[in-house]
Amino acid sequence: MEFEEMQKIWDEQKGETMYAINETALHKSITRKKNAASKRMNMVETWISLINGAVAIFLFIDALNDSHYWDFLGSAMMLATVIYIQISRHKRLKAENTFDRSMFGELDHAIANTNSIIHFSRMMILGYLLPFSFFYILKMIVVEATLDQWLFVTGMYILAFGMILWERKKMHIPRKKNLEGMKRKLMEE
Amino acid sequence: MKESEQRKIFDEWLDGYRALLFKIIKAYAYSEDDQNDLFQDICIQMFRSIPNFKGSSAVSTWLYRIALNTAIKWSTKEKKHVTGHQEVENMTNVLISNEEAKDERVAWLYKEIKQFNEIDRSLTLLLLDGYSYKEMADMMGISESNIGVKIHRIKKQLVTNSKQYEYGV
Repeated sequence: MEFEEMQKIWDEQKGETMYAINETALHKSITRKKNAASKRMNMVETWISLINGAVAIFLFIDALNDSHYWDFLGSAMMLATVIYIQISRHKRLKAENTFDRSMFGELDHAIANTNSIIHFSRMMILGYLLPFSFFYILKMIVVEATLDQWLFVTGMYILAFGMILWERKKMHIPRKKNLEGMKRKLMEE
Repeated sequence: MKESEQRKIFDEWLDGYRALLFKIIKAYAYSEDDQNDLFQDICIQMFRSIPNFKGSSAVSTWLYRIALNTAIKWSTKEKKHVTGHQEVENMTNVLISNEEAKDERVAWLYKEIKQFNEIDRSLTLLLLDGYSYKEMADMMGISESNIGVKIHRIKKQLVTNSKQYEYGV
């Protein structure tokens, strides 16, 4: 069969005969999925910003009252995470509304997006969980915490570390590899 | 733009270009659940893109670009229905496949297209729908010469494989 013949066969396809669309279900699904995706992300960003902002204020006030200088550092770190999240959010919302990218551009953007999620999870561990677990452990030593308290706190930290590492390893890193593989396929001749 | 206006344009696009969307869905998603999932993803992007469409390109080119980019990204996702991360039973089937209308020659073409990698699949669809190398290069973001090399390989493979196909010449 010549290629031109294949094109003729291809052109004979009519949308109406390929599938039937349940339009009511489609509109419901669009509304639900569209709102769900942006709401979920907005909620995560808003809650992390609010919590970190509140912790930053609390630490700052505590530092002013007790002259604990490391609390100033903790407050600044929390504030930095809020600023980082808000800048990322602004970039994300701007990028979400760009539709005229080429496939190369789209893949590049998706890779950059996945990279920023991977960096974010690294930041959560290095700039958030580790310093806080360090401060908390020091505090528990000072107040001579009970075994139950030790088990609870360390258990929670191990769970949080585990979840972040699991998400990173099982979801974001494989997706990044897939996208990079796709970009290589696009570039190769 | 008002949501009612956006919805009206969406309905017009869906009505006028459904074959274009269905071809992409059939080339990228295998199971009925995946076809539904991808179709909904493409429709969401299509709906969201409406306020950004300024008419500098044909609607079909705009939709092809959106649908292919969505399909490419969708195919890099974790295979939801294979790993069971999505509640398949809760998915609304918005697409109902028309089994009676199946043309065996078209089915053969889809089978061949699915054997290509995801990038070559996009190029094959664009090629079969008559897009020029320049338009393809613009949509894919690579050079026309690279497009030419890929297209030559794709055509050669399709024509060679068609010789083994019993309905072929």
